Amino acid sequence: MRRWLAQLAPGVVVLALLLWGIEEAVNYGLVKRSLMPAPSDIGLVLWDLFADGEVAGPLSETLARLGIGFAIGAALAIVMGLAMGYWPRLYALFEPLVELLRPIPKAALVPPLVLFLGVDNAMKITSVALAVFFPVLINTVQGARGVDPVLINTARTLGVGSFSLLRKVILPASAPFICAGIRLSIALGLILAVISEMIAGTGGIGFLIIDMQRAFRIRQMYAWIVILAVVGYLLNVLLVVAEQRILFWYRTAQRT
Amino acid sequence: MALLELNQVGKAFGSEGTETMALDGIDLSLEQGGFLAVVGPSGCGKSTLLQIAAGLMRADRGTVKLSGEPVTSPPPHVVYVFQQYSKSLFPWRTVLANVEFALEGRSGIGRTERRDRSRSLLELVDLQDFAGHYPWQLSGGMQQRVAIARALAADARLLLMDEPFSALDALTRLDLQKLLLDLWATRNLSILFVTHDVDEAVYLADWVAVLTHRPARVHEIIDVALPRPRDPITTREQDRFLKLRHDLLSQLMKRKNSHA
Repeated sequence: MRRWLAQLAPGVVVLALLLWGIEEAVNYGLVKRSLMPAPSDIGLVLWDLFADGEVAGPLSETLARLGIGFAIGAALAIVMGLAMGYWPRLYALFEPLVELLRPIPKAALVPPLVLFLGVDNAMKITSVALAVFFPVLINTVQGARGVDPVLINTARTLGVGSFSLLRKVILPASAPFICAGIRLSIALGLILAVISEMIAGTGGIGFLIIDMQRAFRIRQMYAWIVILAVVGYLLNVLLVVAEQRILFWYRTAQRT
Repeated sequence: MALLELNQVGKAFGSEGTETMALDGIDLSLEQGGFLAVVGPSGCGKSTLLQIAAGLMRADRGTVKLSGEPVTSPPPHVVYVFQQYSKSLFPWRTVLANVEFALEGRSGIGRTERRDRSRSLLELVDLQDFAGHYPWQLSGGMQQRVAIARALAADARLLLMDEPFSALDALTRLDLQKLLLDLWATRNLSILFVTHDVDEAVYLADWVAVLTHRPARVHEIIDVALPRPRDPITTREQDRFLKLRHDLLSQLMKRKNSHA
């Protein structure tokens, strides 16, 4: 615990100095208060938001879209990635398509998705799922193709069929890659959740940020950005902890 | 009828035009309950031969038959034991779960029976106290014991062993050789054992097949005819053991020099 604090301390000091610097810059008029309110003001707004219970609604709305979109995108990507990694023919069939679609910034697809799916949850969840799908897919394919042939051959001579092989050998053996893809994709998923809320519909943190900006309620806008930052941070912490649990065997096994 | 029969098996690698022949007309047969060792210079295609026998790789020419049936995919009751034990165990599974793997998905074996059988097999290889450990927490010799227990769990009748002990230290190797001979004798196994270690081949096997350098052919098959049970120390002191070792080594070294 003490070591953990010692590791954290320098970073916290930098953060505190930065906040203090902005605070002073605003107080001395170096930065226009209407563009960048003092951090302490934003803190007060945050306090009010939480005290009035106004955070839970938009936050859960955005998180639900992210969660559902993420689950759909990641599940499809893992299934397809394992299949593509295992069957070279399937890989040859889909690899060009994937390489073509992958570089498109998924935010650019939100306007066409609005045409097809409207401005409600279907569009937003699809946007998130699309953003999540590709990094998880690419990583899963890479992981599945890299599984040691000794491991696969061992399982095969022990009488394992293709489906069990994928589920019981190739999936866990690719888990380090899949986890890396998931960590990458959760950030992209959050971006898409927020952007799709900004572009269309009403509700969610993304909508609030753009709505507050348009209404010149700049302190509120910043308060919601801070909440997003904290959400992103906590999601990453959550994933790191989950990853350490799932991959407990990985680093130790690599060393030997 | 022989248990395993390889007839004129040939295999080449590489693309057309630049092919290298790995195996050229290999004839081998293993009787039920037999112990056949295959020795040859390194890189002569021993592993290729074993993988073809296991149904993990297709031969270009010739046939592989198990109990008279052609082998096209890994047949049941034939288990391959790799040299790279650390890569052939599942690092995310405990030792016990690694053994259980071979019993999963088999109809008529419930969870408790699977567990009990696996535990008793671990006892057989003297690892009962390590059931809850992970493979990477064990020494190399112990890991290979897990692989052997798992092969037995798969109800192996025929073990195809690819230099299984060559990555182990000398004493551990003696230990595992003894364990293997015990299991072979008590569990009615048949074993095809590939090694580059002449000493090991003569000590373990009934028959030793000598392969030539690439492309591999069977140069000769030697009847070991040393009495059993064999002893890790005294068997190696017998005149016949020393003579066989001498003959085989000088043959292999001659071949090696002519290709060096």
